[in-house]
Amino acid sequence: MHDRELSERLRELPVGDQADAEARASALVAAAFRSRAPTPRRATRLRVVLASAAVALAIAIGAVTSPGDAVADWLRDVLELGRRDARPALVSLPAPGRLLVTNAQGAWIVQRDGSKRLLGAYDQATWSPRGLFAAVSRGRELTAVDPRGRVRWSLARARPIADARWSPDGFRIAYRSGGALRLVRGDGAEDHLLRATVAPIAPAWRPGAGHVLAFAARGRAVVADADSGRRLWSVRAGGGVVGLHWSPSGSLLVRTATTVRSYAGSGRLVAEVGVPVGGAVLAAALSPDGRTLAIARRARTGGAGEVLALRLSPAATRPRTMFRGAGTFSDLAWSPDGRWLLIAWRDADQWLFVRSASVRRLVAVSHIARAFAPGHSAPQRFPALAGWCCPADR
Amino acid sequence: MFASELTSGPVMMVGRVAELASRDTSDTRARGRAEASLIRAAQRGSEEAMAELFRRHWRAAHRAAYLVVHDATAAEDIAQEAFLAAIRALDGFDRRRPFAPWLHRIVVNRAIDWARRRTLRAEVGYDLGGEQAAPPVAPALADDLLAALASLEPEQRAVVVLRHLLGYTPGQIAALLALPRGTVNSRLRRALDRLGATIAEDLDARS
Repeated sequence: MHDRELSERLRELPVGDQADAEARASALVAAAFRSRAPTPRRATRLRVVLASAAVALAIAIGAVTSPGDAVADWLRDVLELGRRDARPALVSLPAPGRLLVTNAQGAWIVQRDGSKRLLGAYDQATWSPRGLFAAVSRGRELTAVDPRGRVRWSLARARPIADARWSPDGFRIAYRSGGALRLVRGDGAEDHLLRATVAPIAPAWRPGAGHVLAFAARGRAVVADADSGRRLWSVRAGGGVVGLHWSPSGSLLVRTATTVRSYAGSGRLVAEVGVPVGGAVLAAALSPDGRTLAIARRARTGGAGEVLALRLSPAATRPRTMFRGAGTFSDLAWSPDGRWLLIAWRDADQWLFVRSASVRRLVAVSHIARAFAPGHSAPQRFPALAGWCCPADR
Repeated sequence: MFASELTSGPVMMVGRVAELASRDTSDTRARGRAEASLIRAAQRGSEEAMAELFRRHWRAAHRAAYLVVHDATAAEDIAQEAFLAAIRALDGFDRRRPFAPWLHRIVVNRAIDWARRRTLRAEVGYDLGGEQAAPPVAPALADDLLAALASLEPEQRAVVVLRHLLGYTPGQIAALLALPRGTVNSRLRRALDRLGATIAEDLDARS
């Protein structure tokens, strides 16, 4: 193929919904620019027009959001990228516990007082049940480290490692290696294959006694005894499993693109909540009490993101909008005491700590990317949340 | 080791990226002056200027990201992130320097990182919407090229995109990706050899 021919074909290849993507990005970039710059007079009139449209939209969607929503906050947030009242630096966490975070530099622990420690140059990380260790991975290596980053053990596998998860008692770690699911003891011994082919979804351990593990394979959610490998039950997930969560009571939540279904111990469906039609779901987190599932996703149009709360217990209720803003909410994490939800607002380079009992109480912190790249002056990649531990911390 | 993120702020690009402007024609210099005016206006708060910058550069950035990652959602994210990074760094941007190379470096580096992470996660054909349901059909030649690109390593795709979509020379690509020029040349050569072989095989299979 000649160079010119190649260039022409590269320019002509279809790249998905290009026009829609451009429209979304245009709105996002415009919102970001307005948040950055002083607002000239012409932009003020534009802001009024957009605000009026937003009011009309708020009325239209009133049927799908609860009356308690802070509509005034939403009207401001849907047009802006980032909270103007954000604190300039992360000097503390609003709740007890420690955050585990990963970025280009590696895996970090954030203490309650806001201090940070780099564990090492790892791609992914996950807490042990009591936060005594972290299972970290980089490429084909799985490693257990203590909170100071000292290596306790390490093992290498032929295929890249991802989604390591520690069992509730700390004696097992399930992880994916390539397309397979593997199991290793908490001390790094007796590593073996559990399933040859699984979906690229993080496995989830059932709380309580025993080593019962949920994973996704071939369009189904499968629950198995990890020690024997015996399958206990499975359910079909129409459209494919996108997330697995266990409630404290032992119900398995199976998340697809359009629904959240709760299954009791035998695989009996006990509840189903529909996810409102909207954009791609980017993150989900179940509250420690198992009552609320928070979902972060893109709005269908306008370059906005939103965080929804799906109440699951004592009875499933309609989803409630917790927060909206321009750009992408990339991660969610509940505090160990369940009182705060951390929303990672990637495009605004902010973390939002939202008091789960009342959306009006909100703590925003700016310059998050820079906080995890001390000494770097260039733009840094926004960090990913890897877990908020531990209930016993003070 | 991930591809390095932008390692020097826009005002510190004088050394390596300066060479990207060294081969401008007179038309290009005129466009450069016009763009410098746009950037100045944007730095002063002009939304129209920022919108014009977006209009001029979005499609190429988005297409470049897509051709490296082959994921529409990720490509949109990456291109958006690049523009948001541009806005955050706008005040310090040296408008005497070209905007496109700075933007493209962010796009391509992040696209490489994303593609590497997806390789590590060993996706087996699932996406957030569920299993792929398209029936097997004989692909058109354009799809053959996309499939052939997908068979390359992310770093190879990146140099192909920089060279043949965005029009950078191997020397400019070396400056953009902070690589030795020889590395760029060898990646390009291997990528083009593989692209040619893959498409030729597909043509044979369908003939």
